[in-house]
Amino acid sequence: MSEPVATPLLDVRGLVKHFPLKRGFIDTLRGKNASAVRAVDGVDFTIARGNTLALVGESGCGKTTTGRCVLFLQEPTGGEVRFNGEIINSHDELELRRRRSQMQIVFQDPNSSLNPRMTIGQTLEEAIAFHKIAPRGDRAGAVNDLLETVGLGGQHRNRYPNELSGGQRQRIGIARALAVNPSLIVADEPVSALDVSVQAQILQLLTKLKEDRGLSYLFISHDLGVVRHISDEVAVMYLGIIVERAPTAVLYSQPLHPYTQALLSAAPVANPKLRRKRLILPGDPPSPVNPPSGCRFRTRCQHATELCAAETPPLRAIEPDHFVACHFAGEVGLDLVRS
Amino acid sequence: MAREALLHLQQLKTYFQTRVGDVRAVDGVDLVIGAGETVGLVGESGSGKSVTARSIMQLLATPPARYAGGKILFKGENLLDFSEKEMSDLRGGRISMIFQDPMTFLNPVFTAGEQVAEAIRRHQGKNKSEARKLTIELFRTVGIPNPEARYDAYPHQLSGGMRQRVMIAIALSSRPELLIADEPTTALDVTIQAQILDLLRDLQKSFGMSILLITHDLGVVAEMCDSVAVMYGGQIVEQAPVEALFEDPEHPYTIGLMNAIPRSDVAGAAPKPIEGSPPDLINPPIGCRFSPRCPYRQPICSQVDPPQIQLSPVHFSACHFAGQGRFEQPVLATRSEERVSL
Repeated sequence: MSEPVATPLLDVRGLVKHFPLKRGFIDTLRGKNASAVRAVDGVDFTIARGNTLALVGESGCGKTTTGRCVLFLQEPTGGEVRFNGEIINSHDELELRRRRSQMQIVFQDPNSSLNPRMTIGQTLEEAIAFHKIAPRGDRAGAVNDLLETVGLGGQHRNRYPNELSGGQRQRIGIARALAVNPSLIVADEPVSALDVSVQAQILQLLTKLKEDRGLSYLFISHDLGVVRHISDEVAVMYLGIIVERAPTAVLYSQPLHPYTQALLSAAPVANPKLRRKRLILPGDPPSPVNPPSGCRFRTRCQHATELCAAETPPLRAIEPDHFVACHFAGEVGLDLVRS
Repeated sequence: MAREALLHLQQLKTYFQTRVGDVRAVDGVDLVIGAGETVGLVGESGSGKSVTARSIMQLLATPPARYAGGKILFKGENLLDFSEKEMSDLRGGRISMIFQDPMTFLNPVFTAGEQVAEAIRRHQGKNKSEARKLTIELFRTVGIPNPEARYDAYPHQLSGGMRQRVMIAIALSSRPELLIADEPTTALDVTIQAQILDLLRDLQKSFGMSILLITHDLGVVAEMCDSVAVMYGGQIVEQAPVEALFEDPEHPYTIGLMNAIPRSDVAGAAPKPIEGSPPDLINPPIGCRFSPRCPYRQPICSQVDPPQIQLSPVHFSACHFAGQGRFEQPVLATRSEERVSL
């Protein structure tokens, strides 16, 4: 599972992204400090070649921002991103452009990420031409190959996005990402907008592409069910930080962070015989402008003590591959879920 | 049927006129909701579940919509014969509805409290200060912390879960006999969804109303409903008490849906897609509408409309081959934490 010697494909260290808030004139006069939305607040992870890491969390936890910062679609406030062992210099436009043929993104909503005035063929050809993947004469063939790879055919070339179904559009979104032969794809909620029957088609496609092409994914999702079937490793985010990270099988069978446990418990289970009292988290997530002191989850955690307010729990290894940011990981763990 | 029907849809047909022909969004739906019962209406986008709900409330613009046939019997009275005045007394009165997105339901320029109070004054004829008092009480009932302060909060100042609670408060203010909940938790995070589902369940117990729960999520159905109707292509393809539906699904579409859910409990069982895409409702397939996508299809399926096969007094399936033991049954979900606590 882990090869400590090999350089990971993607290595993210201390990634921080703060969105500054505007300060009113009066506040400035009063010397009030400028504040910021601390969307991502120190995130580390690595993805080995051919592996999939899932970032899971609820809205506002910073998972999408993390994904965008990895690709420098947003400039991180701090931290570094290494690709193949090399630090990416975000100020070098040419380098970024080169990197983007290695790292691509698939968005949640294919309606808003495909240009409605371009045919599918034009959309795909644009990517191929921009990154000079195929010479002019071969582009049509390359487009056909791409369409076939994602389970469509040459007849879709001249269609516009509005003529396709949601699942087909998402296939085009994936084809466009594949057009430049990337080794890493950031998939940001790629199946959330789709019906379950179509969702399963896309998951199957993503799995097949990973196997055939040795792709790596950073798979961003709020759905623990989806994540289980696509990822090798899962990182759970809460309020801008990673609270737990483990190989997929371990995370689902032995969740150690109370938040992970709550997430797993809260998801409705499709079996009426298993209805029962669930672990229901009280309240809403706090604001990322003023995260709670110490452990960020303590305001909703039933095990919180004074220690949790005073000290920030570091993300520490409980087992070699299992990291948890909780003072009491492994101690309070398992009884919780029975409540 | 032994139970008393609060709402009875009989061969309801709702069509939408377009330049290229009628879209048969709801095409002959029969559904019974008993008093105090929670009935789930499940299906994917475009299956007609929301249109069914909006037809009951007559919230669709006519034209393009047209009630092309059937009856909506609410306590024996056909709502399709009601005048607009009678309907508007009924809406938000004896039948209430909550929606997926509270932000488009709530008025951004009135405070949350004012909107609940307005509903109370409209349907119960209370004066301003009585309505305020009742509103604050309702806020407490639906679990809004610090209700006096929240009375004066505008919708944008509330979180998604709180907005949903305000909308529920409005819906419940008239103590409705039927609550129609159209994807009430789809836009919410899973931990907030758990809060809202819990609340709905408690409220149903204390208010004793019936709920028509519209959702695409079989997990939500399993947690909440007494009985379930599965919709596909504008028709109900299977209807059963919730345990029967999950234990012995007898329509290939129901089985397909169950197999397509990505589950967090089994590592090996990858979600299985249903090939193809939903039918065109302007020119629906002849015979069974699911037949072009059905792994069990036979020549008869695309020639003859499937009969409603009765598998038990309360379990129906619209499939030629239902109840013959031909279908491979899905594996039921387990709870992941059960293995945790081992």
